[in-house]
Amino acid sequence: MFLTLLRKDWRLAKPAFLLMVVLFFVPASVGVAVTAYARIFEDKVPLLRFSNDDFADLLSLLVGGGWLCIFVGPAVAACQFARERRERTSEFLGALPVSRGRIIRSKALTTACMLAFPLLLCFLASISASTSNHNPFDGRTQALSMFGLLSAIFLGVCGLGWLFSCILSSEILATTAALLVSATLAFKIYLVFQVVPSLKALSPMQRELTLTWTIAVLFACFAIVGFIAGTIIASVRRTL
Amino acid sequence: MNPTEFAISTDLLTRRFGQRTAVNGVGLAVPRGAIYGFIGLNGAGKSTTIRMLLGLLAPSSGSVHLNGINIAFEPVRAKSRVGYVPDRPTAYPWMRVQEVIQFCEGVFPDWSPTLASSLLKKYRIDPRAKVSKLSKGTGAKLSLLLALSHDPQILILDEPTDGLDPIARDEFFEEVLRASLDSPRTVLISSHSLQDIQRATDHLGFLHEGRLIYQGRTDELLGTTKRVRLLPDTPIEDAALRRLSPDVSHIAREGRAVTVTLRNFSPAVAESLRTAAHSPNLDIADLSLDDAFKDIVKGMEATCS
Repeated sequence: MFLTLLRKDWRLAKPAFLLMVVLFFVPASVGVAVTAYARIFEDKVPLLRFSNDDFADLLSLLVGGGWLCIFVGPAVAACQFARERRERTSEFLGALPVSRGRIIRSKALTTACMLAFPLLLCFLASISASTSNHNPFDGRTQALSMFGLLSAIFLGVCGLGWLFSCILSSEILATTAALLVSATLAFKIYLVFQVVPSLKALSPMQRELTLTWTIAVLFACFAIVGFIAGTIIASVRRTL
Repeated sequence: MNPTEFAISTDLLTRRFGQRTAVNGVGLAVPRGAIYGFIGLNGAGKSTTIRMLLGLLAPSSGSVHLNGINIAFEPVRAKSRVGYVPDRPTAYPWMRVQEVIQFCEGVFPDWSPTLASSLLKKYRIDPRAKVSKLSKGTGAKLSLLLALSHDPQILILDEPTDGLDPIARDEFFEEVLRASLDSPRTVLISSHSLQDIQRATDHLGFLHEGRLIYQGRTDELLGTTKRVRLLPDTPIEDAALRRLSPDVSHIAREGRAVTVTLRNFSPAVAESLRTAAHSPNLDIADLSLDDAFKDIVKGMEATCS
Protein backbone atom coordinates (compact mmCIF):
# COMPACT_ATOMS: atom_id res chain seq x y z
CA MET A 1 0.00 0.00 0.00
CA PHE A 2 2.83 2.39 0.91
CA LEU A 3 4.52 1.80 -2.46
CA THR A 4 1.24 2.68 -4.21
CA LEU A 5 1.12 5.95 -2.28
CA LEU A 6 4.78 6.66 -3.04
CA ARG A 7 4.25 6.08 -6.74
CA LYS A 8 1.27 8.44 -6.73
CA ASP A 9 3.14 11.13 -4.75
CA TRP A 10 6.12 10.85 -7.09
CA ARG A 11 3.86 11.48 -10.07
CA LEU A 12 2.11 14.32 -8.24
CA ALA A 13 5.35 16.31 -7.92
CA LYS A 14 7.03 14.97 -11.08
CA PRO A 15 6.46 18.08 -13.26
CA ALA A 16 8.03 20.37 -10.64
CA PHE A 17 10.84 17.88 -10.04
CA LEU A 18 11.66 17.59 -13.75
CA LEU A 19 11.67 21.37 -14.05
CA MET A 20 14.10 21.48 -11.13
CA VAL A 21 16.37 18.91 -12.78
CA VAL A 22 16.33 20.84 -16.06
CA LEU A 23 17.16 24.08 -14.24
CA PHE A 24 19.93 22.31 -12.36
CA PHE A 25 21.68 21.28 -15.56
CA VAL A 26 21.03 24.50 -17.53
CA PRO A 27 24.17 26.42 -16.48
CA ALA A 28 26.44 23.37 -16.96
CA SER A 29 24.84 22.60 -20.33
CA VAL A 30 25.35 26.18 -21.45
CA GLY A 31 28.95 25.91 -20.23
CA VAL A 32 29.52 22.73 -22.23
CA ALA A 33 27.96 24.31 -25.32
CA VAL A 34 30.06 27.49 -25.02
CA THR A 35 33.28 25.56 -24.43
CA ALA A 36 32.58 23.22 -27.34
CA TYR A 37 31.76 26.21 -29.54
CA ALA A 38 35.11 27.79 -28.64
CA ARG A 39 36.86 24.59 -29.84
CA ILE A 40 35.54 25.20 -33.34
CA PHE A 41 38.05 28.00 -33.74
CA GLU A 42 40.98 25.92 -32.42
CA ASP A 43 42.60 23.60 -34.94
CA LYS A 44 42.74 19.83 -34.39
CA VAL A 45 41.17 19.92 -30.93
CA PRO A 46 38.17 17.59 -30.45
CA LEU A 47 35.02 19.48 -29.56
CA LEU A 48 34.36 17.72 -26.26
CA ARG A 49 37.87 17.16 -24.95
CA PHE A 50 37.94 19.57 -22.03
CA SER A 51 40.97 20.73 -20.07
CA ASN A 52 41.14 20.53 -16.27
CA ASP A 53 40.32 24.23 -16.14
CA ASP A 54 37.23 23.62 -18.22
CA PHE A 55 36.15 20.80 -15.93
CA ALA A 56 36.62 22.93 -12.84
CA ASP A 57 34.50 25.64 -14.43
CA LEU A 58 31.81 23.15 -15.38
CA LEU A 59 31.70 21.80 -11.83
CA SER A 60 31.22 25.31 -10.48
CA LEU A 61 28.47 25.81 -13.05
CA LEU A 62 26.85 22.64 -11.73
CA VAL A 63 26.86 24.21 -8.25
CA GLY A 64 25.38 27.31 -9.90
CA GLY A 65 22.54 25.09 -11.11
CA GLY A 66 21.90 24.26 -7.47
CA TRP A 67 21.30 27.97 -6.79
CA LEU A 68 18.76 28.08 -9.59
CA CYS A 69 16.93 25.14 -7.99
CA ILE A 70 16.06 27.42 -5.07
CA PHE A 71 13.31 28.90 -7.27
CA VAL A 72 11.69 25.55 -8.08
CA GLY A 73 12.48 23.50 -4.97
CA PRO A 74 9.55 24.95 -2.98
CA ALA A 75 7.20 23.96 -5.83
CA VAL A 76 8.33 20.34 -5.40
CA ALA A 77 7.46 20.54 -1.70
CA ALA A 78 4.28 22.55 -2.30
CA CYS A 79 2.83 20.10 -4.83
CA GLN A 80 2.15 17.42 -2.25
CA PHE A 81 -0.72 18.86 -0.23
CA ALA A 82 -1.72 22.03 -2.09
CA ARG A 83 -2.14 20.32 -5.45
CA GLU A 84 -4.25 17.56 -3.90
CA ARG A 85 -6.44 20.23 -2.34
CA ARG A 86 -6.70 22.31 -5.54
CA GLU A 87 -7.66 19.29 -7.64
CA ARG A 88 -10.03 18.04 -4.90
CA THR A 89 -8.19 14.73 -4.95
CA SER A 90 -7.65 15.17 -1.20
CA GLU A 91 -11.32 14.13 -0.88
CA PHE A 92 -10.68 11.01 -2.95
CA LEU A 93 -7.59 10.21 -0.88
CA GLY A 94 -9.37 10.95 2.40
CA ALA A 95 -12.19 8.52 1.60
CA LEU A 96 -9.73 5.63 1.11
CA PRO A 97 -8.87 3.31 3.98
CA VAL A 98 -5.44 4.83 4.50
CA SER A 99 -4.32 6.46 7.73
CA ARG A 100 -3.40 10.13 7.75
CA GLY A 101 0.03 9.21 9.12
CA ARG A 102 0.75 6.95 6.17
CA ILE A 103 -0.34 9.61 3.68
CA ILE A 104 1.93 12.19 5.30
CA ARG A 105 4.89 9.77 5.56
CA SER A 106 4.61 8.95 1.88
CA LYS A 107 4.52 12.62 0.91
CA ALA A 108 7.41 13.49 3.22
CA LEU A 109 9.58 10.65 1.91
CA THR A 110 8.90 11.55 -1.74
CA THR A 111 9.67 15.21 -1.10
CA ALA A 112 12.85 14.36 0.82
CA CYS A 113 14.12 12.14 -2.03
CA MET A 114 13.32 14.75 -4.67
CA LEU A 115 14.99 17.57 -2.73
CA ALA A 116 18.01 15.43 -1.91
CA PHE A 117 18.77 14.93 -5.62
CA PRO A 118 20.13 18.42 -6.48
CA LEU A 119 21.78 18.71 -3.07
CA LEU A 120 23.64 15.43 -3.55
CA LEU A 121 24.84 16.46 -7.00
CA CYS A 122 25.89 19.87 -5.68
CA PHE A 123 27.77 18.22 -2.86
CA LEU A 124 29.63 15.91 -5.24
CA ALA A 125 30.38 18.81 -7.60
CA SER A 126 31.65 20.95 -4.73
CA ILE A 127 33.88 18.16 -3.41
CA SER A 128 35.22 17.33 -6.88
CA ALA A 129 35.88 20.97 -7.68
CA SER A 130 37.64 21.56 -4.37
CA THR A 131 39.97 18.59 -4.86
CA SER A 132 41.00 19.55 -8.39
CA ASN A 133 44.17 21.53 -9.01
CA HIS A 134 42.12 24.20 -10.70
CA ASN A 135 39.81 24.76 -7.76
CA PRO A 136 37.49 27.70 -8.37
CA PHE A 137 36.55 27.85 -4.66
CA ASP A 138 39.99 28.52 -3.14
CA GLY A 139 40.10 25.40 -0.99
CA ARG A 140 37.83 22.67 0.32
CA THR A 141 36.58 24.71 3.28
CA GLN A 142 35.24 27.44 1.05
CA ALA A 143 33.66 24.88 -1.27
CA LEU A 144 31.92 23.20 1.64
CA SER A 145 30.89 26.54 3.17
CA MET A 146 29.35 27.51 -0.15
CA PHE A 147 27.57 24.16 -0.28
CA GLY A 148 26.39 24.62 3.33
CA LEU A 149 24.94 28.05 2.52
CA LEU A 150 23.26 26.73 -0.63
CA SER A 151 21.78 23.75 1.26
CA ALA A 152 20.51 25.93 4.10
CA ILE A 153 18.80 28.41 1.75
CA PHE A 154 17.45 25.67 -0.51
CA LEU A 155 16.02 23.64 2.37
CA GLY A 156 14.77 26.77 4.15
CA VAL A 157 12.77 27.91 1.12
CA CYS A 158 11.53 24.34 0.54
CA GLY A 159 10.54 24.06 4.23
CA LEU A 160 8.43 27.18 3.83
CA GLY A 161 6.98 25.71 0.62
CA TRP A 162 5.99 22.58 2.56
CA LEU A 163 4.47 24.68 5.35
CA PHE A 164 2.44 26.86 2.97
CA SER A 165 1.34 23.80 1.02
CA CYS A 166 -0.25 22.48 4.21
CA ILE A 167 -2.22 25.72 4.59
CA LEU A 168 -3.01 26.99 1.08
CA SER A 169 -4.99 25.37 -1.72
CA SER A 170 -2.70 26.13 -4.64
CA GLU A 171 0.86 24.98 -5.19
CA ILE A 172 1.64 28.13 -7.17
CA LEU A 173 0.42 30.30 -4.31
CA ALA A 174 2.37 28.23 -1.77
CA THR A 175 5.57 28.45 -3.86
CA THR A 176 5.17 32.19 -4.38
CA ALA A 177 4.53 32.73 -0.67
CA ALA A 178 7.62 30.71 0.27
CA LEU A 179 9.84 32.63 -2.16
CA LEU A 180 8.43 36.01 -1.13
CA VAL A 181 8.83 35.36 2.61
CA SER A 182 12.38 34.07 2.08
CA ALA A 183 13.42 36.97 -0.15
CA THR A 184 11.89 39.55 2.19
CA LEU A 185 13.60 38.15 5.26
CA ALA A 186 16.96 37.77 3.50
CA PHE A 187 16.72 41.37 2.32
CA LYS A 188 15.80 42.57 5.83
CA ILE A 189 18.89 40.87 7.24
CA TYR A 190 21.02 42.45 4.55
CA LEU A 191 19.60 45.86 5.51
CA VAL A 192 20.33 45.22 9.19
CA PHE A 193 23.94 44.60 8.27
CA GLN A 194 24.02 47.93 6.43
CA VAL A 195 22.50 49.91 9.30
CA VAL A 196 23.60 48.49 12.68
CA PRO A 197 26.80 50.33 13.70
CA SER A 198 28.51 47.35 15.34
CA LEU A 199 28.03 45.34 12.17
CA LYS A 200 29.04 48.25 9.99
CA ALA A 201 32.24 48.51 11.99
CA LEU A 202 33.35 45.04 10.89
CA SER A 203 35.83 44.68 8.08
CA PRO A 204 34.18 43.93 4.73
CA MET A 205 35.42 40.36 4.80
CA GLN A 206 34.23 39.76 8.37
CA ARG A 207 30.90 41.40 7.58
CA GLU A 208 30.40 39.20 4.56
CA LEU A 209 31.25 36.09 6.56
CA THR A 210 28.88 37.06 9.40
CA LEU A 211 26.11 37.88 6.93
CA THR A 212 26.59 34.55 5.16
CA TRP A 213 26.43 32.58 8.39
CA THR A 214 23.46 34.56 9.71
CA ILE A 215 21.52 33.81 6.52
CA ALA A 216 22.58 30.16 6.62
CA VAL A 217 21.45 29.73 10.24
CA LEU A 218 18.20 31.61 9.64
CA PHE A 219 17.28 29.48 6.61
CA ALA A 220 18.28 26.30 8.44
CA CYS A 221 15.77 27.35 11.12
CA PHE A 222 13.16 27.96 8.40
CA ALA A 223 13.80 24.47 7.11
CA ILE A 224 13.36 22.85 10.52
CA VAL A 225 10.36 24.95 11.53
CA GLY A 226 8.73 24.73 8.07
CA PHE A 227 8.93 20.97 7.74
CA ILE A 228 7.95 20.25 11.35
CA ALA A 229 5.12 22.83 11.52
CA GLY A 230 3.78 21.77 8.11
CA THR A 231 3.74 18.13 9.14
CA ILE A 232 1.98 18.93 12.41
CA ILE A 233 -0.62 21.05 10.60
CA ALA A 234 -1.22 18.29 8.03
CA SER A 235 -1.65 15.77 10.85
CA VAL A 236 -4.07 17.75 12.96
CA ARG A 237 -6.14 19.78 10.52
CA ARG A 238 -9.74 18.66 10.18
CA THR A 239 -9.57 18.08 6.45
CA LEU A 240 -6.62 16.78 4.46
CA MET B 1 -29.64 3.74 20.02
CA ASN B 2 -27.16 0.90 19.72
CA PRO B 3 -24.78 1.75 16.83
CA THR B 4 -24.04 -1.90 16.09
CA GLU B 5 -27.67 -2.43 15.04
CA PHE B 6 -27.33 -0.03 12.12
CA ALA B 7 -25.07 0.13 9.10
CA ILE B 8 -24.75 3.90 9.52
CA SER B 9 -25.58 5.71 12.70
CA THR B 10 -24.78 9.16 13.97
CA ASP B 11 -25.37 10.54 17.41
CA LEU B 12 -26.06 14.28 17.80
CA LEU B 13 -23.80 14.98 14.85
CA THR B 14 -23.05 18.69 14.70
CA ARG B 15 -20.77 20.78 12.55
CA ARG B 16 -20.27 24.51 12.94
CA PHE B 17 -18.42 26.82 10.55
CA GLY B 18 -17.73 29.88 12.67
CA GLN B 19 -21.09 31.20 13.87
CA ARG B 20 -23.07 29.13 11.35
CA THR B 21 -24.28 25.67 12.32
CA ALA B 22 -24.36 23.61 9.11
CA VAL B 23 -25.42 20.35 10.74
CA ASN B 24 -27.27 20.41 14.01
CA GLY B 25 -27.63 17.33 16.22
CA VAL B 26 -28.36 14.89 13.41
CA GLY B 27 -29.15 11.33 14.50
CA LEU B 28 -29.13 9.17 11.37
CA ALA B 29 -30.08 5.53 11.75
CA VAL B 30 -29.69 3.62 8.50
CA PRO B 31 -30.69 -0.05 8.87
CA ARG B 32 -28.46 -2.73 7.36
CA GLY B 33 -29.42 -3.52 3.79
CA ALA B 34 -31.53 -0.37 3.39
CA ILE B 35 -31.46 1.97 0.45
CA TYR B 36 -31.69 5.28 2.25
CA GLY B 37 -32.57 8.50 0.45
CA PHE B 38 -31.00 11.52 2.05
CA ILE B 39 -33.00 14.54 0.95
CA GLY B 40 -32.69 18.23 1.58
CA LEU B 41 -32.69 21.62 -0.11
CA ASN B 42 -29.46 23.21 -1.30
CA GLY B 43 -27.39 24.15 1.74
CA ALA B 44 -29.41 21.92 4.06
CA GLY B 45 -26.19 20.23 5.21
CA LYS B 46 -26.36 16.94 3.24
CA SER B 47 -22.85 17.09 1.81
CA THR B 48 -21.40 18.24 5.13
CA THR B 49 -23.09 15.29 6.86
CA ILE B 50 -21.80 12.88 4.21
CA ARG B 51 -18.28 14.30 4.51
CA MET B 52 -18.46 13.68 8.25
CA LEU B 53 -19.75 10.13 7.67
CA LEU B 54 -16.61 9.43 5.64
CA GLY B 55 -14.23 11.11 8.05
CA LEU B 56 -13.37 13.77 5.45
CA LEU B 57 -14.51 16.43 7.89
CA ALA B 58 -14.31 16.18 11.66
CA PRO B 59 -17.57 16.98 13.47
CA SER B 60 -17.72 19.82 15.98
CA SER B 61 -19.49 17.36 18.26
CA GLY B 62 -21.27 14.02 18.05
CA SER B 63 -20.14 10.71 16.65
CA VAL B 64 -20.37 8.57 13.51
CA HIS B 65 -20.48 4.79 13.45
CA LEU B 66 -20.16 2.76 10.25
CA ASN B 67 -21.03 -0.90 10.78
CA GLY B 68 -20.68 -0.23 14.50
CA ILE B 69 -17.15 1.15 14.13
CA ASN B 70 -16.54 4.69 15.37
CA ILE B 71 -14.89 6.48 12.46
CA ALA B 72 -13.05 8.89 14.76
CA PHE B 73 -11.23 6.07 16.54
CA GLU B 74 -10.76 3.50 13.77
CA PRO B 75 -10.96 5.41 10.48
CA VAL B 76 -9.06 2.88 8.37
CA ARG B 77 -11.14 -0.11 9.51
CA ALA B 78 -14.38 1.85 9.21
CA LYS B 79 -13.59 3.05 5.67
CA SER B 80 -12.26 -0.27 4.37
CA ARG B 81 -15.81 -1.53 3.65
CA VAL B 82 -17.27 1.75 2.43
CA GLY B 83 -17.62 2.88 -1.19
CA TYR B 84 -18.05 6.58 -1.88
CA VAL B 85 -19.37 8.26 -5.02
CA PRO B 86 -18.97 12.05 -4.83
CA ASP B 87 -21.00 14.65 -6.72
CA ARG B 88 -18.23 14.90 -9.30
CA PRO B 89 -15.28 12.61 -9.97
CA THR B 90 -12.44 13.34 -7.58
CA ALA B 91 -9.99 10.71 -8.82
CA TYR B 92 -6.61 12.01 -10.00
CA PRO B 93 -7.39 13.90 -13.25
CA TRP B 94 -3.90 13.36 -14.66
CA MET B 95 -4.12 9.58 -14.29
CA ARG B 96 -5.55 7.25 -16.88
CA VAL B 97 -8.55 5.14 -15.92
CA GLN B 98 -6.40 2.02 -15.69
CA GLU B 99 -3.93 3.81 -13.42
CA VAL B 100 -6.67 4.96 -11.04
CA ILE B 101 -7.93 1.39 -10.87
CA GLN B 102 -4.41 0.12 -10.14
CA PHE B 103 -4.00 2.80 -7.48
CA CYS B 104 -7.21 1.73 -5.74
CA GLU B 105 -6.19 -1.91 -6.07
CA GLY B 106 -3.07 -1.11 -4.08
CA VAL B 107 -5.03 0.65 -1.37
CA PHE B 108 -8.14 -1.50 -0.76
CA PRO B 109 -7.42 -4.82 0.92
CA ASP B 110 -10.54 -6.45 -0.57
CA TRP B 111 -10.21 -5.09 -4.09
CA SER B 112 -11.44 -7.48 -6.75
CA PRO B 113 -9.61 -7.03 -10.09
CA THR B 114 -12.14 -9.36 -11.76
CA LEU B 115 -15.07 -7.25 -10.60
CA ALA B 116 -13.27 -4.05 -11.62
CA SER B 117 -12.55 -5.30 -15.13
CA SER B 118 -16.08 -6.65 -15.58
CA LEU B 119 -17.54 -3.28 -14.48
CA LEU B 120 -15.11 -1.51 -16.80
CA LYS B 121 -16.50 -3.50 -19.72
CA LYS B 122 -20.09 -3.15 -18.55
CA TYR B 123 -19.86 0.62 -18.18
CA ARG B 124 -17.94 0.87 -21.49
CA ILE B 125 -15.14 3.00 -20.04
CA ASP B 126 -11.91 3.23 -22.05
CA PRO B 127 -9.13 2.19 -19.64
CA ARG B 128 -6.61 4.30 -21.58
CA ALA B 129 -8.65 7.50 -21.31
CA LYS B 130 -7.45 10.23 -18.99
CA VAL B 131 -9.79 10.88 -16.06
CA SER B 132 -9.89 14.60 -16.91
CA LYS B 133 -11.12 13.79 -20.43
CA LEU B 134 -14.09 11.66 -19.34
CA SER B 135 -17.60 12.97 -19.88
CA LYS B 136 -19.74 13.68 -16.78
CA GLY B 137 -21.70 10.46 -17.21
CA THR B 138 -18.60 8.31 -17.71
CA GLY B 139 -16.89 10.07 -14.81
CA ALA B 140 -19.84 9.20 -12.56
CA LYS B 141 -19.67 5.60 -13.74
CA LEU B 142 -15.93 5.50 -13.02
CA SER B 143 -16.63 6.76 -9.49
CA LEU B 144 -19.24 4.00 -9.12
CA LEU B 145 -16.80 1.41 -10.43
CA LEU B 146 -14.14 2.52 -7.93
CA ALA B 147 -16.72 2.48 -5.15
CA LEU B 148 -18.03 -1.01 -5.98
CA SER B 149 -14.91 -2.94 -6.91
CA HIS B 150 -13.96 -3.73 -3.33
CA ASP B 151 -17.45 -5.07 -2.66
CA PRO B 152 -18.31 -2.54 0.05
CA GLN B 153 -20.90 -3.21 2.74
CA ILE B 154 -21.90 0.45 2.63
CA LEU B 155 -22.22 2.59 -0.47
CA ILE B 156 -22.50 6.35 0.02
CA LEU B 157 -23.49 8.52 -2.93
CA ASP B 158 -23.49 12.30 -2.67
CA GLU B 159 -25.66 13.76 -5.43
CA PRO B 160 -23.96 11.49 -7.96
CA THR B 161 -26.27 12.40 -10.83
CA ASP B 162 -25.81 16.15 -10.49
CA GLY B 163 -25.36 17.64 -13.95
CA LEU B 164 -26.13 14.41 -15.81
CA ASP B 165 -28.66 14.32 -18.64
CA PRO B 166 -31.88 12.35 -17.96
CA ILE B 167 -30.69 9.26 -19.86
CA ALA B 168 -27.32 9.13 -18.10
CA ARG B 169 -29.14 9.71 -14.79
CA ASP B 170 -31.51 6.80 -15.42
CA GLU B 171 -28.63 4.55 -16.42
CA PHE B 172 -26.72 5.52 -13.33
CA PHE B 173 -29.63 4.84 -10.99
CA GLU B 174 -30.22 1.48 -12.65
CA GLU B 175 -26.60 0.55 -12.03
CA VAL B 176 -26.86 1.59 -8.37
CA LEU B 177 -30.03 -0.46 -7.94
CA ARG B 178 -28.46 -3.44 -9.66
CA ALA B 179 -25.37 -3.12 -7.47
CA SER B 180 -27.51 -3.07 -4.34
CA LEU B 181 -29.35 -6.20 -5.50
CA ASP B 182 -26.21 -8.10 -6.58
CA SER B 183 -24.77 -8.04 -3.11
CA PRO B 184 -26.41 -7.29 0.24
CA ARG B 185 -25.25 -3.79 1.00
CA THR B 186 -26.53 -0.60 2.54
CA VAL B 187 -26.85 2.38 0.23
CA LEU B 188 -27.15 5.99 1.35
CA ILE B 189 -27.90 8.31 -1.52
CA SER B 190 -28.45 12.04 -1.56
CA SER B 191 -30.04 13.49 -4.66
CA HIS B 192 -32.10 16.39 -5.90
CA SER B 193 -34.02 14.05 -8.16
CA LEU B 194 -36.83 12.99 -5.85
CA GLN B 195 -38.45 10.85 -8.57
CA ASP B 196 -35.32 8.70 -8.66
CA ILE B 197 -35.15 8.63 -4.87
CA GLN B 198 -38.80 7.54 -4.66
CA ARG B 199 -38.14 4.80 -7.19
CA ALA B 200 -34.96 3.54 -5.61
CA THR B 201 -35.17 3.93 -1.84
CA ASP B 202 -36.92 2.11 0.94
CA HIS B 203 -35.91 4.52 3.73
CA LEU B 204 -35.76 8.30 3.82
CA GLY B 205 -34.24 11.08 5.82
CA PHE B 206 -35.20 14.74 5.31
CA LEU B 207 -32.61 17.30 6.30
CA HIS B 208 -33.69 20.90 6.67
CA GLU B 209 -31.44 23.73 7.82
CA GLY B 210 -29.04 21.23 9.34
CA ARG B 211 -31.71 19.30 11.26
CA LEU B 212 -33.12 15.88 10.49
CA ILE B 213 -36.85 16.59 10.32
CA TYR B 214 -38.03 13.18 9.17
CA GLN B 215 -36.58 9.69 9.15
CA GLY B 216 -38.42 6.49 8.36
CA ARG B 217 -39.62 4.08 5.71
CA THR B 218 -40.51 5.50 2.28
CA ASP B 219 -43.72 3.43 1.99
CA GLU B 220 -44.78 4.46 5.50
CA LEU B 221 -44.32 8.13 4.69
CA LEU B 222 -46.15 7.92 1.38
CA GLY B 223 -48.83 5.64 2.83
CA THR B 224 -49.60 7.87 5.80
CA THR B 225 -49.11 11.34 4.34
CA LYS B 226 -52.19 12.53 2.45
CA ARG B 227 -53.61 15.72 1.10
CA VAL B 228 -57.13 16.58 2.23
CA ARG B 229 -58.98 19.13 0.11
CA LEU B 230 -61.80 21.04 1.77
CA LEU B 231 -64.29 23.60 0.52
CA PRO B 232 -65.32 25.44 3.69
CA ASP B 233 -68.69 27.17 3.78
CA THR B 234 -67.27 29.78 6.14
CA PRO B 235 -63.64 30.98 6.25
CA ILE B 236 -61.44 29.11 8.72
CA GLU B 237 -58.07 30.20 10.08
CA ASP B 238 -54.89 28.12 9.66
CA ALA B 239 -54.40 28.15 13.42
CA ALA B 240 -57.82 26.62 13.95
CA LEU B 241 -56.99 23.80 11.55
CA ARG B 242 -53.61 23.21 13.19
CA ARG B 243 -55.26 23.05 16.61
CA LEU B 244 -57.40 20.17 15.43
CA SER B 245 -54.46 17.83 14.96
CA PRO B 246 -50.71 17.94 15.47
CA ASP B 247 -50.43 15.94 12.23
CA VAL B 248 -51.37 18.96 10.08
CA SER B 249 -48.04 19.65 8.42
CA HIS B 250 -48.96 22.13 5.69
CA ILE B 251 -51.95 24.25 4.66
CA ALA B 252 -52.36 25.72 1.18
CA ARG B 253 -55.19 27.93 -0.06
CA GLU B 254 -56.47 28.39 -3.56
CA GLY B 255 -59.55 30.58 -3.75
CA ARG B 256 -62.09 29.13 -1.36
CA ALA B 257 -60.43 25.71 -1.36
CA VAL B 258 -58.14 24.71 1.48
CA THR B 259 -55.63 21.86 1.04
CA VAL B 260 -54.30 20.35 4.23
CA THR B 261 -51.34 17.95 4.23
CA LEU B 262 -51.68 15.41 7.02
CA ARG B 263 -48.88 13.25 8.38
CA ASN B 264 -50.08 10.01 10.00
CA PHE B 265 -53.34 10.28 8.12
CA SER B 266 -56.45 8.74 9.63
CA PRO B 267 -60.05 9.00 8.38
CA ALA B 268 -61.11 10.29 11.80
CA VAL B 269 -58.78 13.29 11.61
CA ALA B 270 -59.92 14.04 8.05
CA GLU B 271 -63.52 13.90 9.17
CA SER B 272 -62.82 16.25 12.09
CA LEU B 273 -61.24 18.72 9.63
CA ARG B 274 -64.31 18.52 7.39
CA THR B 275 -66.61 19.13 10.31
CA ALA B 276 -64.61 22.05 11.65
CA ALA B 277 -64.44 23.67 8.22
CA HIS B 278 -68.13 23.04 7.49
CA SER B 279 -67.06 21.58 4.19
CA PRO B 280 -69.57 19.55 2.26
CA ASN B 281 -66.71 17.97 0.24
CA LEU B 282 -63.71 15.99 1.37
CA ASP B 283 -61.19 14.92 -1.27
CA ILE B 284 -58.32 12.75 -0.12
CA ALA B 285 -55.27 12.35 -2.39
CA ASP B 286 -51.97 10.48 -2.23
CA LEU B 287 -48.76 12.45 -2.46
CA SER B 288 -45.64 11.92 -4.49
CA LEU B 289 -42.37 12.06 -2.58
CA ASP B 290 -41.71 15.42 -4.20
CA ASP B 291 -44.97 16.86 -2.82
CA ALA B 292 -44.56 15.20 0.58
CA PHE B 293 -41.07 16.63 0.94
CA LYS B 294 -42.15 20.12 -0.14
CA ASP B 295 -45.17 20.12 2.19
CA ILE B 296 -43.18 18.90 5.18
CA VAL B 297 -40.47 21.53 4.60
CA LYS B 298 -43.02 24.32 4.06
CA GLY B 299 -44.90 23.17 7.14
CA MET B 300 -41.66 23.33 9.15
CA GLU B 301 -40.96 26.83 7.88
CA ALA B 302 -44.53 27.96 8.66
CA THR B 303 -44.32 26.52 12.19
CA CYS B 304 -40.92 28.18 12.78
CA SER B 305 -42.11 31.57 11.52
